[in-house]
Amino acid sequence: MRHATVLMLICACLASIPLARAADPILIGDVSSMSGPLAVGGVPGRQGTIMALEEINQKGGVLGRPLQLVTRDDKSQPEEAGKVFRELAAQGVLLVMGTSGSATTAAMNSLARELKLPFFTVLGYSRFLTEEAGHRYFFRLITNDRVFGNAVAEAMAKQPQTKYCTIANDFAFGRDITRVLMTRLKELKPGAEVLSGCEFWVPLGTTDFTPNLTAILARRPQAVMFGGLVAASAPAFVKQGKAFGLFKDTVGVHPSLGMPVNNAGLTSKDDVPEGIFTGTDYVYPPVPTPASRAFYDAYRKRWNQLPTEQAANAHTTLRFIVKAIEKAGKADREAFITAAEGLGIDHPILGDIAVRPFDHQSTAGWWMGYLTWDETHKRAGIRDAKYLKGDSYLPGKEEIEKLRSQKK
Amino acid sequence: MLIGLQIVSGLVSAAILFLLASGLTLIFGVCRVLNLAHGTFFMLATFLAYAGTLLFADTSANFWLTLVLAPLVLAGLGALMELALFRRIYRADVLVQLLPTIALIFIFADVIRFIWGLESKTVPFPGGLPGAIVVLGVPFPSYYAVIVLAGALVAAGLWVLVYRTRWGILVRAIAQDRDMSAALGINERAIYTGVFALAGWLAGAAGVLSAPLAGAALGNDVDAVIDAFVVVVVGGLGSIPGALLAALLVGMVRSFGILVIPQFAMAFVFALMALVLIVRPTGLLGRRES
Repeated sequence: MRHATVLMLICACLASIPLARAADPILIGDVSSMSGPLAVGGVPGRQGTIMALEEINQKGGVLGRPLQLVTRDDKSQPEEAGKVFRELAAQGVLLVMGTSGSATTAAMNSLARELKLPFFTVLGYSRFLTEEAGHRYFFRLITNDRVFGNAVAEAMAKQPQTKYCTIANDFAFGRDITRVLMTRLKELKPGAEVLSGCEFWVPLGTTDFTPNLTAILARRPQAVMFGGLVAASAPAFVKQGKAFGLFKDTVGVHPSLGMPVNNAGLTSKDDVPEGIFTGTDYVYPPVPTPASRAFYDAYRKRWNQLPTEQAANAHTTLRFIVKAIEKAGKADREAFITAAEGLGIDHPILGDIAVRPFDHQSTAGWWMGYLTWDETHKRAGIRDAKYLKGDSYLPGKEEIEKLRSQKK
Repeated sequence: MLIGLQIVSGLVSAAILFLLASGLTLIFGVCRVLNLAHGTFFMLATFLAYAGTLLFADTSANFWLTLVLAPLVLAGLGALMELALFRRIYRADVLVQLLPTIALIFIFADVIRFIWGLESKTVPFPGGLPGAIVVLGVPFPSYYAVIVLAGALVAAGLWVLVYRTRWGILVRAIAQDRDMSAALGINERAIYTGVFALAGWLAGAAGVLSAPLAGAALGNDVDAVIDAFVVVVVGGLGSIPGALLAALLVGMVRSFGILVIPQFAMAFVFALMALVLIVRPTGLLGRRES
């Protein structure tokens, strides 16, 4: 009797194998910052990814197989990111995506090359990742700081201001964006200068800007570039600067303060001065296109929260991945890469973007405008928003090759 | 003009530093515990300031009401921590004393994250204040005067409390010689709980007062305790007048440091700490262990 049951079970198992294989899910790894300081971006990013996954599986998955996420938390730490990336590789995922910042992405960038496992960053905006450090296994659907630094520099070059002060958090991104923007500005507008002794670097996490503000005010600059202030530093500087009347006669410039994740700390109308020149890849109030409205409604319905740029970017990234797998016709890493190169996708806010074949950076651009208060959503937003495509600010094929060979 | 402005802004920084550091130094002076969770109390107060100003949003006195209530909550929490945790570790090894305070940092950070989420918050400036006060041609928001005034008032209040009241005499007696005080029949347990409550109140006041300027953000706990620690070390562990002097010094070094080499303003502060430790290992006004 027992033998018979066992035999029957074995038969049942054998019989079900071909069936199980046909419905075998395609595994996609997701390493996002779900805890630590970058979780402000990582959590909505993961939610955008899950939303896209549900939509894709509802439509029958990809190549007749369902999509399955294997998720990890990098805790906003590069060492942890490297560790969990290796775990995912061992689990046999087809590729990895992640709403993970520039430092954690850099750790995974080199591992992606070593393990020949494609990786898509959704939060690493540092240009370095696709330029000097770029390679066959690294992709980015979001834009990078070269694009928005240069776009804002060109817009400011057309303005009358020439006397600048700069202030930034003293870390890689803070230094990078300040250098990119001020160098480009001086190229385009030779009269532009940073006033002597008016270049400030403050530690990450600084929230008392009183001594910096008095020093800046005493020098009477025409513009203050504070694009390198991030996290809690940016809203604290804006608020204290407003209290000192800094933004009355001085133009504030912060290329990415328009991003919901960067201005979420400005929680009251009184804290938002009018007229800081800034930009974003998710606009509040939302862009009035059907695609943007549809994404906004779907996200609010699914998560009961306001969408952010990470949500839209992660959603678009997973949809892009699926499109490339379909084009490749099989779940194979090398075939996937070939299919992904040059492939386009519709982004709900940035419109049609495509992955450039020679550096795997997308042509995603940047919305620019002036910081304001969005009364409908009770949060900061931008007014007079204009979209600039990313293509014209990105380096060409030859320059990319030069940058990459210099590194070696 | 620039020098005058930097003195004023240094004073503002010093006021917050003193409020923050006085509680830490008080606990160390009396209870001989380094409470690394002091910055966590400060951060909790900034979030309470955010919640309080929203809760009482229909009155224009919402901020002032919060300023009265939130430090009391923190005082209660401080007393509770002493009763539940610190009282058990006074005689323990230094490392054993530090570990639970580090645990508190993580526990409260997660609690705050759970309640208020990940995003940093801003707290509006309190209503009912006059407009800017013009100092040397620069309009200082009048709220800065409130902070400097509060710093001065708390310093004076602490002085009266410690040097002019019976409770202060007992506190100083315990700080000087714990065993002798116990032998004389002083109820040291009640004093310890009182000291933790007072330190909680001070951290609470510092947090609420700084919230309209700096907002509330996760991660401020560690930054705050490092700032406070620098001030306490420079001033002398356990010395309140030392904390006042050191807060003024650190505030000025920061304020003038950025004029000399902007990116090294923090390094100047730590250089000051190293210098003080070399010249006077017990801090400026610290006394040698007996």
